[in-house]
Amino acid sequence: MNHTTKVAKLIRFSLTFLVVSLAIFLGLMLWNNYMNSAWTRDGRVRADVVMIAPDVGGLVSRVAVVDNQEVHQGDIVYQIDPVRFEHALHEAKALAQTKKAQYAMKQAQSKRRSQADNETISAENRDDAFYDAQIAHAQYEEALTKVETAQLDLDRASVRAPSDGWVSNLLLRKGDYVQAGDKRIALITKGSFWVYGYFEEHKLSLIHVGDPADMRILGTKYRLKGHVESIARGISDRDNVTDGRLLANVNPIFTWVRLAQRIPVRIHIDTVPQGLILSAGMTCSVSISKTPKRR
Amino acid sequence: MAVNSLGMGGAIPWKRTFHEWLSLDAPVLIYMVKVVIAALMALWMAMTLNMPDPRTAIFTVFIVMQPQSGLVFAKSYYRVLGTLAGVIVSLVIVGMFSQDPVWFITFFALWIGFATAAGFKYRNFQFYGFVLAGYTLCIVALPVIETPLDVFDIAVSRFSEVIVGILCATVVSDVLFPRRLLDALITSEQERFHNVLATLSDLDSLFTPLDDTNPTVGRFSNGVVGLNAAQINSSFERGTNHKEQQHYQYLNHEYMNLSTTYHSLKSILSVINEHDKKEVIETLKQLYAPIATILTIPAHTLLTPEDLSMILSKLLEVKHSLSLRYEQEWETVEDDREFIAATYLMNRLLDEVHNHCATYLSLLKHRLSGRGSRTFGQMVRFSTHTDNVLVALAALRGSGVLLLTMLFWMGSGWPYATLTITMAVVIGLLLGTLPSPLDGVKNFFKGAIIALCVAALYDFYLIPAYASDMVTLGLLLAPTLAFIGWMTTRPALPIFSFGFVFMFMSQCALDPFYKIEPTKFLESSLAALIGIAFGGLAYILVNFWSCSLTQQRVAKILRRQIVTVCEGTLKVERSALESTGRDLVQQFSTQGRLNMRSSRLVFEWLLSTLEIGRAILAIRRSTQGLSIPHPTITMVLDSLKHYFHTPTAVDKEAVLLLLHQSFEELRTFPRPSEKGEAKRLKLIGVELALIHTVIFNSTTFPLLLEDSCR
Amino acid sequence: MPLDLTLFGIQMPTLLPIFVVCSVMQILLDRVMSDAGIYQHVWHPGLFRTAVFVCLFTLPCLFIYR
Repeated sequence: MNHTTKVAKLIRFSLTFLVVSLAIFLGLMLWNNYMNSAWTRDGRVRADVVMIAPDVGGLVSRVAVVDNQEVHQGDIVYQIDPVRFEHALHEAKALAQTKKAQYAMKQAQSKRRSQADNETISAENRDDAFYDAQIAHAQYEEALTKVETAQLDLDRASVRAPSDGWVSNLLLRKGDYVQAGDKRIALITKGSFWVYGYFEEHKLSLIHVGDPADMRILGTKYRLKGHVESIARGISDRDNVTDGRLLANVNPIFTWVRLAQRIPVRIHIDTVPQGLILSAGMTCSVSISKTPKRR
Repeated sequence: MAVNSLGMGGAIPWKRTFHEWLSLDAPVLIYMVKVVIAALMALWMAMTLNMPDPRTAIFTVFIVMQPQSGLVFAKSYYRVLGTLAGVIVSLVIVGMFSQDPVWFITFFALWIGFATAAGFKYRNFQFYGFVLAGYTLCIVALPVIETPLDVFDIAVSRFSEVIVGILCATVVSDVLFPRRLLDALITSEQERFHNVLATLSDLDSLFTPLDDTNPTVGRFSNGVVGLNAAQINSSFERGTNHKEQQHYQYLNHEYMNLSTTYHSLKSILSVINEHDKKEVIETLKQLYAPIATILTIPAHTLLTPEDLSMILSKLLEVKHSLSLRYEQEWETVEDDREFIAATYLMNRLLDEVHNHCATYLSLLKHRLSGRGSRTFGQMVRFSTHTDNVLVALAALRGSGVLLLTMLFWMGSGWPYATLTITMAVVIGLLLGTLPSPLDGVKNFFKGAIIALCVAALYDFYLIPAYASDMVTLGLLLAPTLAFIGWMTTRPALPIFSFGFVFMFMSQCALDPFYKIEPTKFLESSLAALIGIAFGGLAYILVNFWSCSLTQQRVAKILRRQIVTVCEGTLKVERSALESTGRDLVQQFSTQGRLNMRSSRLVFEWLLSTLEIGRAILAIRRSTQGLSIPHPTITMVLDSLKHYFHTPTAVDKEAVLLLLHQSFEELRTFPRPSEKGEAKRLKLIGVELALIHTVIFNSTTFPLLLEDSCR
Repeated sequence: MPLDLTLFGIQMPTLLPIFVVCSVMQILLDRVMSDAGIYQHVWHPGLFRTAVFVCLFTLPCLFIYR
């Protein structure tokens, strides 16, 4: 074995060794970054949704909004036919007038009787007249409240937006009959958007409340900035579903390779880029970086 | 060296045993370890990546795993292509026809028929691609028939599982103790070259007549197709460069030519022998003797490039002296057609041996120093022959078995009948190219039964009792996986082991989670076994392919080849003619149930056809260059064409007469003054003599209706 | 680089297209290297080849998961 073959052999070994160690180094680095950086492809944009229900039932006489319309707090969303409530109000008012008149009559009666002497009217009669007047007064008050209630019903027949936001998936049409308490319109509250990032459990230790988060909406170039608001403290155990008698129903199957569960992390959106229309339910990938001070 | 080895005495047997172990048993052991590692890696990866059906990944490992990495790459390549095609087709079929059973089944059957036919047409590993294309359709489209919306998920996950399996198999086979296909190729090339030299140097065997007991013909003729396949697959390996590939192509091509020439020479010599022309034989023997002595090399010695160059220079000398002698003899014994043909063939044989040795030398040099001495022109293509009847039959069988099992499915309404369909289709796809598919089905069945027992042992005892995580599961599975690896290296049990793998993989509880489901196990096993039975039934039903039919068909194709040569373009390469013919015979001798005798007969037919075809091409080429037209030559060609189109005894006489006449005419023709013209005329004369001899000697001819099958 | 790509309406991790591109590059590179005779100067070509692929694949991926 002469010198040149030795050198050639050395080159052969060192070349292979070099490339293989480079590959191992890069591979480990990628593995480390992949496993130990807080990112997930499984993020969802969420928002507060108000389910608007009418306080009174009735026929819908007018839908004041169109689908996906932006509404402000107090705007009429739809109108329930008010005629019935107007009638009720009139009825209540009429009743109140009757009661008022009755009260006036009873009061006058009582006043008159109280001024008469004991020969003309008995003490008992006088007392009765007094109490009758009291009752008539109370009845009048009651009738007045009924008027107010009827007025309230009439007011509530126009259903109004409880907050600023957007009407979504509007299915209500003029002529529908709505029951009191029926959820018929969903209103996405303005400014209530947040992101739920579902992170594998082993990555939770890398996430702290207040960490800045970077979110990318699927299929767009928009980036949302935010920070971690809170971390969920519980998810349900899929292998243990309670049965009808409240006993544990443990799954008899087991997985060979345990897969990490995913825990929701709530992220507050700080800035929304210009031009992006944020919708609840959008998919986004979330990556969380460490807060600068901890570094 | 000798003294040394004698002195060590007792150590020698140990050493030899160790070397034997190292060269014979160690590769098998290493292969087993590789299989186990690759399989468990695939299982683990598929489970970690949360794929719904990890068994597809581990199954893929077993399908593509081969001892040599080149084969693994080739198989993987075709497996990926096949799976991709199957996935796309199933998406299309399920997407379009999931609500329409008639069209669904029609297109399903068409695709299976296509895959069977194409798998039959393209042998080697392209075959696997088509098998997988059909199989993938079954495993993707059938389970989602009730819920067509899931088809996309299933298709994507099956495909990614296959990719995981292939990645594991290729990486493990290339990184862990790789064995190169090219090394095996070189060994067999070496063996073949030594074989050639041994055959050619054997003067006696050349001059003894042909018979069934003479092994040289068989020895000389095998392995052309197989080596070509190995060479194609080795191109998937690393470090195989273009130059080396070309060397192998040329060697293969030269070898084909050489064996044709050798065989023609031998048959003509046997004719001369029969005619009892002692003095002619003696002269020929004298002519050949120097060649034989040069080519004689001691047995079991490896040729060095120096030896070879010496042989080459000697051959060149002999070539000169032989061509001189040849000229002389041509003048003296002009009337003897056989003699002319024999000397001509001898000359050609010498040329071809010289070329073959030169290429081989160049290959040796190329491998030693990277500098081959030969430069090659264009690539030599290995043309293949496809017999449309066989292909159509295969397609019919594939579609037929599918329709049959579909009927079974719809008739019984059994949810597990989809497994029956899959299994029957697999049997139809996989075993169609075997020499005797029915035996294959039986072996497959045996393998499946044993696999069922093993799988039951795993499912109901070993796994629930001992496996608790991936490590213990891997340890439990390892022995069986290693056993499968060992089985696949045994050449005697490929189909048995395939049945074993197929059944074990589909029945062993290798899901991401473990569940004890005895009823499911029993029902699906039963369905699969019924599927195998259906597959076997198809081979019994669609099989009217008998020995004599095969013979007739081969004869017809060979005759048609000559007719084409007579009237087709002149651009046909000799290599194309040779490789097509050989491929055809290979295909028929594995498909057509020929017995030993008839397959030898078919092989002789092939060689005669090749010789005649080549001669006709040579005559036609030379005729183009002639200044004076010779109408008799055109007449000869016409009558040859006519004869081979519809052969009759009368035509044969007419052809022989015409051949004789034109030969005489050429001989008596005044020798033209121009040298090229004279040379061409002489060549035509020789070729005519050759054709005459071959046709006259009609025992080796694809015309007679002798039935050698009984 | 983004974590996800959307191709033909299908969301996939960026690793996937990188893998495909790297495979194609590896096949081409392999051909070039074998014709240039680099594998003759390498101790274990199979290992070398795998290592080259790992390098090819990990380098762009490191930009995704920083």
